[in-house]
Amino acid sequence: MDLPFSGDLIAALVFPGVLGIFGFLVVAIWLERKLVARVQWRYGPLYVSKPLGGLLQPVADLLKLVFSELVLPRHTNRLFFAAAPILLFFAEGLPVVFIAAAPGVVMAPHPYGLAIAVVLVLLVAVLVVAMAWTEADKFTYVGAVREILLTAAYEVPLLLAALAMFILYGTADPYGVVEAQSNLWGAVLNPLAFVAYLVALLMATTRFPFEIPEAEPEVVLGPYTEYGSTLFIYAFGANYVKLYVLALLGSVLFLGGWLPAGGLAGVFITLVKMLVFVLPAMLVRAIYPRYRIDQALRIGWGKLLALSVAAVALSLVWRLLR
Amino acid sequence: MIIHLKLFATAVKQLLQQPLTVRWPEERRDYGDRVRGFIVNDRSKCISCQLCEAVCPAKAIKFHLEADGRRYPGIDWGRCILCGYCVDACPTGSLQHVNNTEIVWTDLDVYKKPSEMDPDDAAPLPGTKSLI
Repeated sequence: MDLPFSGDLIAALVFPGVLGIFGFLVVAIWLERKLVARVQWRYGPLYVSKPLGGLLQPVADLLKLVFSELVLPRHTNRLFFAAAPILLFFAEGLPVVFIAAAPGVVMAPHPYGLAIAVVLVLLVAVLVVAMAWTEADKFTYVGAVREILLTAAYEVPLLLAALAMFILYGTADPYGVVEAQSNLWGAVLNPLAFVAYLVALLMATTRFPFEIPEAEPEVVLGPYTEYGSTLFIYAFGANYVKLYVLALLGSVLFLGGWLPAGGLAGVFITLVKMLVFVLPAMLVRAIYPRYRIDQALRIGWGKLLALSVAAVALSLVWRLLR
Repeated sequence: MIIHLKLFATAVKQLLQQPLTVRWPEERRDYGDRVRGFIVNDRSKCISCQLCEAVCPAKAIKFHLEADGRRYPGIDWGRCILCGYCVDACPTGSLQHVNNTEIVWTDLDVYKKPSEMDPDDAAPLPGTKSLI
């Protein structure tokens, strides 16, 4: 290993870990606002740090949120009300523990690491519902029901898309998966799984065509309605953490992770490859209107399920041919 | 599938184009030099005929007695719709538009008074610009 510090320390503190998550929170919010603005022929955030193109605007917004008043409603269980978003935020970041960003840069290497990460991503949806339940509000209730339905729509295709790749590589080891892609990337070997994963990612992070649980004109902010101040950062930031985790997982599963390089350069390559998942997820806000919940369910249990099943079949065919 | 690719292509195409909006205080949109901006009165030409008051559809113009014993039109900018009828109706051409639509008053009473209608007062200023 040619890293100055031990790999797991870097993984925990810098790239897939804490700094990466909070840095992503700032950059993703800025990127989303900026990209959508440019598609709509506007400038987007600019006045805070003009030379940087307004990059510090999310920092200013987050600071403003930190200093705004924190309201804990009396009719809720106030301990759970305060704990739920923090729990959610860090639980969304938990799968990062098992994903490698470069050879050696992983917190907990495990032969089934990536499979555990996928399962963790799917399990955390329960916490969103728990959070909405604790808030005890009609909008959060509707948001929670929508979240449950949407989870039902995406979790099978997401799991099958990941399964297709595990079958293809014959391993779920964070290193083994990338080594198996040394000749050809997973997205080329199994494009069906790639597309299914991308759509499932949009659903899982409730990005725009599937932005149903927090549909603003209908249910205020869905499961996040009652939160303000710092708790709002944790509650709403959890979505961006999920996007971060799924983009990292996707870049390892489908785009060969750190492949042309290793060590510190590998970390940067992984970071660039994450953009392949993050940029479309940001752009869709400017492109699509919102589906109804029944339309989203129909897509999830219809075309998307068929696509992911076909992806598994394709992987099996590749596996048998090899 | 094709339609989604087309949507993304459109988005990327627009992403690469220049913004249409202007960054306001630093950058002004050029509306040309025939803008129906704020209206000023040249008192040396005004004959106090009150045609402008008669023609005003928004009833924004009221005549005021001034120190020199004559009556001059004053415009209530809260009512004025900048339609320019008074400018068209003025027989001597004493009412004129200025090429400026951004004027701020510090006081609600100030903006109704005819003395505010001196051309120099409403002329666009460079720099801090048009903040009278």
